[in-house]
Amino acid sequence: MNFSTEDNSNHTIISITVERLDAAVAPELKKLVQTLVAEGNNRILLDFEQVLFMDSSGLGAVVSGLKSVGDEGEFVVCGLSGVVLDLFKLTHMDRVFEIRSDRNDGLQALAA
Amino acid sequence: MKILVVDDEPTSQLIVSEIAESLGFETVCAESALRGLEILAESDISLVLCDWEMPGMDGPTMIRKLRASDHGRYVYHILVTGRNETKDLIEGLNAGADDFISKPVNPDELRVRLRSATRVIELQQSLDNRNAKLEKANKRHEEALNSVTSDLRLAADMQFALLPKEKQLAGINTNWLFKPASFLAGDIFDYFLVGDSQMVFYIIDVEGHGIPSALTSFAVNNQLNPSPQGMCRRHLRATSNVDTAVLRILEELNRQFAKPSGDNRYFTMIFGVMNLFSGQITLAQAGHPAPLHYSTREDSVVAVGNGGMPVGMFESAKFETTNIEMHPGDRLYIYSDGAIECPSTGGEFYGQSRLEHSVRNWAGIPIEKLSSILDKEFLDWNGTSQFEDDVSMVCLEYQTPLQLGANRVQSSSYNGVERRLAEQPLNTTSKDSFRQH
Repeated sequence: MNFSTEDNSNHTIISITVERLDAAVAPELKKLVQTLVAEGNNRILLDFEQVLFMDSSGLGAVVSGLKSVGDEGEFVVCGLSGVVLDLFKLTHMDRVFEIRSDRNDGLQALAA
Repeated sequence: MKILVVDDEPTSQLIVSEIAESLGFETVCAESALRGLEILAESDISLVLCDWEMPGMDGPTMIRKLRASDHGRYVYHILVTGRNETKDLIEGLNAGADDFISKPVNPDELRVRLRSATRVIELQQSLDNRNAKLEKANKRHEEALNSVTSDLRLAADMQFALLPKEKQLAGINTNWLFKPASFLAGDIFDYFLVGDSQMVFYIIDVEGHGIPSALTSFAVNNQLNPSPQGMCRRHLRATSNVDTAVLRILEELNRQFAKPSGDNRYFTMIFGVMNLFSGQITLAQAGHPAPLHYSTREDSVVAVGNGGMPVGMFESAKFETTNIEMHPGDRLYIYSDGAIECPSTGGEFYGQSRLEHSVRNWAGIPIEKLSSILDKEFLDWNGTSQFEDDVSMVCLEYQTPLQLGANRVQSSSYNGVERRLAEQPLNTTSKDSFRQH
């Protein structure tokens, strides 16, 4: 498994458990979020804590997640660092995503 | 099933034959080992009952000769013998016998021996059949793979043919590097003159790589083609405000490629227009790594732009433009992320700061030699010619400002562009042909 999920009463935390969020694992993330949303879990925190690299396919999957939860849902990302954070800034995704420093901070954003 | 009975004594031959026939076998008889071998060579018999002691060639010798020849099938060989000492058994097995039956032949024992022989032969035949089928399937797959590989090579050649050939355009010198990760790249770039005072340049990197990304890159490239109906000329003709034209081009591309479902592939790009008289560049940076501007005056390298959203990701995306003043001798490098994320053998990325440093070092290298320098740089860094991601890089050098009345230069370059267009059948392909899956 490249991702682990933790279901709570009103949100789901997805931890990315691989160092590279790239074309090899991106389809799995895309599908995972779609499945969660289909099951009614549309408040999602995506934790990047362990991710050291993300490529264009990885970013595509994260954006797909944001689109999946729709206007009704929430999609927060946390734990971004290094080149991953750089890619968010380069592509102006920091203007699109709610970005929080770590998991606790992310959970607060979901609770708000 | 047929059995070959080999025995020099007619009586024994008859007894064994009758028992075998009573068990449902069809028998063929030979009075000598030599005749037996001839029959095996001419028929498809796979089961032999053969006497050990025979004048001329004996049973074990017959088996050795049989095993040494290839009949394209396995022949199960039972030796009929009065011998029952261990060393005889060993000799028979060494010769290649599969089983023994003692003389005089007991019908019950023969039935058991023949049943086990039949089982082995049938198993062998089903294995042979399966092997033949697998071989056939393998051959089909190999042929299919060869055909796909050759198609991909052809497509890669076509993709390469789309890249700009000219390296001198009305006061601008260029050079580039293009290294697809697989046969086909999701990267593509071009530059060409528009009207009598402008040059358009762009580099595109479609999400992912390989065939699906390449198809999208072909489709985008097709939209941007230098023909009068192409997006670039259309928008640059419609307004004298270059910033507006550049933004309209990106917005139109975004409208075409962003799908609400999000099932499309997005792409990052640098799209720029250079004024050949003033050296002013107007460019948009859509999620693409920052272009590097080498200034001869300052002998310094500056990363240009503040980033921006990729194209085809969000329908509501907004784009921004940046301006650069180019002076004679200045160079602008545009490149895909595959260049700065190119890993060394130790796994270290090439990185943007190293690239900035390199760009400054390359300032003294004549631009026509730059392509081989770039090639060597990334090959040496990567350690192998197999790249993880497409690596492409284009260098534009502003040599001399275009002078008024230099129409001859412009028209010859313009004709060159038209010629290149005529040579590229893909550029005339409707965009719809890329979208049918």
